[in-house]
Amino acid sequence: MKLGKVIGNVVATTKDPGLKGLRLLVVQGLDETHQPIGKPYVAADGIHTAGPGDIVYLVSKKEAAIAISKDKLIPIDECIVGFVDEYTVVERAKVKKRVPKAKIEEEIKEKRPTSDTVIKTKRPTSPDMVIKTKKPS
Amino acid sequence: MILAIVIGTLVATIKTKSHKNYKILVTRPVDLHGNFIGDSIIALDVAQAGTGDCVLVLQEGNSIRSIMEDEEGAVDALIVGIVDFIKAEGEQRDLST
Repeated sequence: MKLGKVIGNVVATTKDPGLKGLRLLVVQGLDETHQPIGKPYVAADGIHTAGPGDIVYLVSKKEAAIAISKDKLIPIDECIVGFVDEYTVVERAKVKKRVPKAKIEEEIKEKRPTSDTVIKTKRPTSPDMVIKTKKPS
Repeated sequence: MILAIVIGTLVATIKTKSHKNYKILVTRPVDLHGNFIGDSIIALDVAQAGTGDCVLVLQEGNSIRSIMEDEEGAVDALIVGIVDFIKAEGEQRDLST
């Protein structure tokens, strides 16, 4: 399926008998950020409510004909099957990567000092750092 | 079937009969390195996938109708599996984000 925006409608009096009673709409395809892609095309309305300005999603090829009627063969190749209420797309960088448990354990092991490594701490040697204490008078 | 990554969700209340009770997700096809290729595809979900998952998208109408057990199913893309990892070109990759 793909996303589209209804931008107009089509009126045709002389047409194939299979198209009788169908609403035909002009649809502009949209990409995931709602930017128009490709040229506008004509699609049949399978939900009977779509009108100009609506964001909808469509099926193409044979499934478009099946959306209208299962038995009758209808000469359409795009059909509106749903009215989009809400559309959320997440940027890939914002999705947190799931790290497998084994990998987390490995990382913890790398950070933890092993028994062979000795941590040396320095004693204050410079005169500034020596703390002088006064003798009680 | 193609490899794709789920990039978002879509909510529709007014929709055709055969789409009722299914989750609708927005997917984008990827190559073996995880780079996006081509346009996004809106697909129904039977594999309980979520945003960021690397999934298998089936695009064959007859196979989809037999999986959904609905002769009148007007669906041209269906998520049928979640990919754990891919072993290709001598290395193992996890494309999920």
